[in-house]
Amino acid sequence: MFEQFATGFFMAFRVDTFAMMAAGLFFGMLVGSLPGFTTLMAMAILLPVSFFLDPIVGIPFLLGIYKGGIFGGSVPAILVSMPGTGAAVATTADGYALTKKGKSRKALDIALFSSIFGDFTSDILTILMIFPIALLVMQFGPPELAAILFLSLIVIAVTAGSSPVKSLMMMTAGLWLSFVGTDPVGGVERFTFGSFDLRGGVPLLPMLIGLFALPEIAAVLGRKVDMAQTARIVGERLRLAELKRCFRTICRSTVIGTAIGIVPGLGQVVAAMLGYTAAKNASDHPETFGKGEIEGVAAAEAANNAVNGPTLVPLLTLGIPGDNVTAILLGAFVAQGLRPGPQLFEEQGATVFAILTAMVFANLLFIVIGYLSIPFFARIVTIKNSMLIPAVILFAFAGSYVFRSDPVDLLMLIGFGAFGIIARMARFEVMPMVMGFILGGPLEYAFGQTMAMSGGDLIGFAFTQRPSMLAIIILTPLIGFYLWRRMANLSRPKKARQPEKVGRAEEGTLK
Amino acid sequence: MQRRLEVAVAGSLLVLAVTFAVFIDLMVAKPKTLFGRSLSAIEPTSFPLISMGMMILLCGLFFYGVYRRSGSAEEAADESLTGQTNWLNIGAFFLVLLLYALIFYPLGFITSSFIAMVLLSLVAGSRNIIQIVVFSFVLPLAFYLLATRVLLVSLPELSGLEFLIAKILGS
Repeated sequence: MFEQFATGFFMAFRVDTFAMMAAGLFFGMLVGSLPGFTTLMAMAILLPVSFFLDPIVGIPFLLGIYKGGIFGGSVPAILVSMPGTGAAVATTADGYALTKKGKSRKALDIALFSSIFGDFTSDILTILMIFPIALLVMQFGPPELAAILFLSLIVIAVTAGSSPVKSLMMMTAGLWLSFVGTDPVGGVERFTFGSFDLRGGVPLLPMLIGLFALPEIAAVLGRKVDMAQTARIVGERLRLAELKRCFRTICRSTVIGTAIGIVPGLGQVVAAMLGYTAAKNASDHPETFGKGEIEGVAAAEAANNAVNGPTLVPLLTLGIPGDNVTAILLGAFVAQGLRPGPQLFEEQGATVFAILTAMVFANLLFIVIGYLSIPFFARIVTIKNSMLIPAVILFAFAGSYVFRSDPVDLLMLIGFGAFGIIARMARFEVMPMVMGFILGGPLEYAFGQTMAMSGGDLIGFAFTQRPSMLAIIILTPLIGFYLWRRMANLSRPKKARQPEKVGRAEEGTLK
Repeated sequence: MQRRLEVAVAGSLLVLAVTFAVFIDLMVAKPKTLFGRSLSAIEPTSFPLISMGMMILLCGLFFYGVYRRSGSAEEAADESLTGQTNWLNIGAFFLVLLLYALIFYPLGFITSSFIAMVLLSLVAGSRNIIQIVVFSFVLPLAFYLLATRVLLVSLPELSGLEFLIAKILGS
């Protein structure tokens, strides 16, 4: 494992890796800066680019978009009280208050520095946490893998959305889609209805872009969030003394964000809210929060960016994506031939550590690009949707087409987009569906291998030869129930905790 | 509105699950056999049948839940996706997307993208004709050059424009 880490560490130092990471950070910040356009949309639209690149280049490119997008959301949150992403909702309260006081430059500076500190620290912690978990899961065989995949699907269904039953229904629908094409165990055709285009299965890319990006674009079209105001950066820069004053808050929020990131389903919004609340509770002057307190911006931004790295811990070691964005990352890993889960570190350990190393060093680029481009992104905030929507559709169509060069994929894209809108209106989460689709094939294959190993007596086999598989299967409903209770408890106080001023801001976000 | 949609989605999934379960033998090819014995540990219909059964069970739970909370207030729906104006916008948006998908291959990337971008700009509310025309021509052209010359991926090249570009820049 340490050898793989050492190999991976040096593999990461490539000019193209750093160039594409810089491009990813820039695109992420660009899209994050556009109110209504989310990191999720940017990831879905730019996912096809990663397919044509080496994994050590393509996946850091997507990680760059992820990191940049989460920070980019704070720019319109601070300048025009409209967060570009859900993660920046907590930033709005103090960030916009600082702008109204003529201190928008200071607010953006503290947002940038706390984002980078949170991100950098949590990335290092991510690598440290991955080591022991990866060592443990490397001992797993097909029976344990099948049990882990089953656990993953249950965890995803329980933590995505407000209704576990609806999420499980969507996950099952995703499993159905994974059946289309060739059976992974026996190699026979299933559910192709005689269509040649379906023999290779349902393509992943039109599904991801259709389910995640098209409903977001349709919502932007319906919401009309064009900026009437002019976003301007004014006031003096952040001083070192002010940064020192916020340091304790930034550290606290980083720890909160890191802990939240490891748990699937919670994500940046919860981390930012908890970080903000913790900072306010710990402050000697809590009354200043919500009225232009830079510690408020620092707390929210450090916490939401600290989530980015740790979401990779369950994703890479167990194949459990924490949210929609990591679901897209999972798609990217799978398309690159790297299937997250117990076997990943055994088969592709060096590549994975190269990606993680690149992720840590991306933060250096983050400082430079963020510091230099903030004035540019402030102007981007005011671009009209009537120009952005056609451009995004162009990328979506070209991206869906280039992977297989099959025009049928475009019709699938529209079909998935229409389904995504209906699901969204009916409050059905699409993430479990995508996960059911991605993990369905490997689950069926691992289950088939387990059945072959057991000789038909699965229960006896589990009791006598595979106690770890049995333990995971017994733990699955317990973990599922615990997470369901936890999510139910978290969603209740979250509604009460929303700062008043973000009411308007939330209209501009989709997450 | 939202509850009716929820029920419609769940009902459709239930109908699909029952239909697939009943007609599964028509949708799945026969497993390969050697001397009359199956070559795989599980039948190709086993996993799909488990999932169909799971869906039927989940739909039952869902409808029971709907019945139990039939008197309670509905969750707030996504405002951006409701209302007559938005429906018209979203409907027009999808019609343009469908048109784009249908002309993408026959007309080539640049021409089809130009038409789609002009229509999408109008649907999104832009009325500045010069800006629309310039933007809708420049962006697809730039993207086409980037994709085919830098990233070396293929896009449909069936109109005179693409051939003209190939003649000028070399194929």
